[in-house]
Amino acid sequence: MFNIDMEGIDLEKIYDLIVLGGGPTAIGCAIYAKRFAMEVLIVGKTYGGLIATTHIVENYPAITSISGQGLMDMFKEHMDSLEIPYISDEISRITKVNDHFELHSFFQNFKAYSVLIATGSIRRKLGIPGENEFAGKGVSYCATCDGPFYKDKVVCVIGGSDSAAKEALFLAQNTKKVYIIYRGNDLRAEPINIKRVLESNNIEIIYETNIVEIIGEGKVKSVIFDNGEKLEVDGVFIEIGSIPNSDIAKNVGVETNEHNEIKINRKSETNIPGIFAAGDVADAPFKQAITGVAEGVIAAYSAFDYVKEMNIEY
Amino acid sequence: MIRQELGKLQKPITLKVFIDKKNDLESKETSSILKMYEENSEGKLRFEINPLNEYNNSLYKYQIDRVPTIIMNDAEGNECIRYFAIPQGSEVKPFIQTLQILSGRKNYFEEALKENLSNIKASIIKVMVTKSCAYCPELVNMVSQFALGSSGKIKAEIIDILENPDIGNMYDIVTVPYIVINNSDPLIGLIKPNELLERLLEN
Repeated sequence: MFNIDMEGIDLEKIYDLIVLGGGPTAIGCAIYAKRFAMEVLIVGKTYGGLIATTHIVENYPAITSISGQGLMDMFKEHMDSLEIPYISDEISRITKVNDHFELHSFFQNFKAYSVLIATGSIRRKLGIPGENEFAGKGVSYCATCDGPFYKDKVVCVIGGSDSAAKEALFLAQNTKKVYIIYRGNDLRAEPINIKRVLESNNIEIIYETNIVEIIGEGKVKSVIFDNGEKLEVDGVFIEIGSIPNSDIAKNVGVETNEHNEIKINRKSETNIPGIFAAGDVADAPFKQAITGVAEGVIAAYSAFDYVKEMNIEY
Repeated sequence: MIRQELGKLQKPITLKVFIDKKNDLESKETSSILKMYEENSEGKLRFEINPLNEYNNSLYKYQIDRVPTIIMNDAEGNECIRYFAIPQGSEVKPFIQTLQILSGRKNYFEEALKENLSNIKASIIKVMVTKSCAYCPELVNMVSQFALGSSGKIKAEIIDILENPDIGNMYDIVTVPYIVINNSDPLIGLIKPNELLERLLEN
């Protein structure tokens, strides 16, 4: 269970490290920082991050199979055992003041000598007519959240990634039929999940197809393909990847690349001394919970060295 | 984990619970879950169970139109939160965190709410959730803190819409979390606390 109230939070204190984010990268970093005896605080907008919405995780070493939410509950238990404080809020601005950073949210201000940006990513949108109009009315970005509303109905999943395959498999458990609509000609999912999709008796893949419009009356009724054909569906689950949530970094002058990912080196350092980045928001090539945790741990080491060299007198 | 978190309760609290006396199975299940909460609280948490029948005055006094219902009052005795289901699954976490604040832990949003209280009109925030929704616990927690820090101006209703499908149907909901404030246009998804405050100031 995470602390979400003000218990254990000191607004006057300059923390050694404030970690921004609520996913495995953030918590992995905080666990190490705490073990380095650093004063650490986590400020996260969404506890658990994107992985908490995954219905099954089967590639986190030492855990054969678990829900994303279940995995993050275990992270929480570890975090709580070390009494790491967690605040559920969003930092909107970081400023450098003398030897430390000030982090501002709408509700409170915090201070830290070092900062890890592990704000992850947000779901990418299709950007087609009907997507915004029917958001929450048949268009969804979270199968575990909204899947239960489509019992015995027909839905489609847009995308060809491993996440798309897993969403389709989850939805297939309760729905009448799931279409995977993918612009490519070969799913990019892990082979084990491709096999499961192909073996499912209520999943059908429509390859080399884009949807260009979502149509409905109050609720989603159908999607239109780029070849002009129409498919009647009750729900559209969009799973076409994510975009880095790096606005906070850009505001303070942290360099990002053309994909809006924060540029980091092998020590998880950014171009600004004292600000580190890790996980999905950074420019590492693999976006996995396990690689994010590793980058977060490296950031903890680097932040520890950084703060130690400051020779702060407490 | 439940015992550890309930161990953080500071002062004793009592919640009113309304259950259906006629439905023995549901009544027994509800009582058993509530007992589990009580037994893990070292005496700090007590449920005052009110079995309902058609002659029970509580129906009218507390305007109970469905069971089970749990009512939470703030320190001044203002009713501030109603749960239209017994918290289970992912609903357990925000429920216990709300109990912690109710029992005296400091509310993160209280300061900002007090500053803006004169501009917030009396509001009922309905938060529609399901047990499997990953984003819902954080939102329930946030809205509950708003309700607890509003000196009775904000009332929160936490509604599991799979347990209360009539409410889900009434709003035609196919996504969660789903928030309705004073029956105005819904807020869909995990909204930020400042967005919630802004919406309350607009209402």
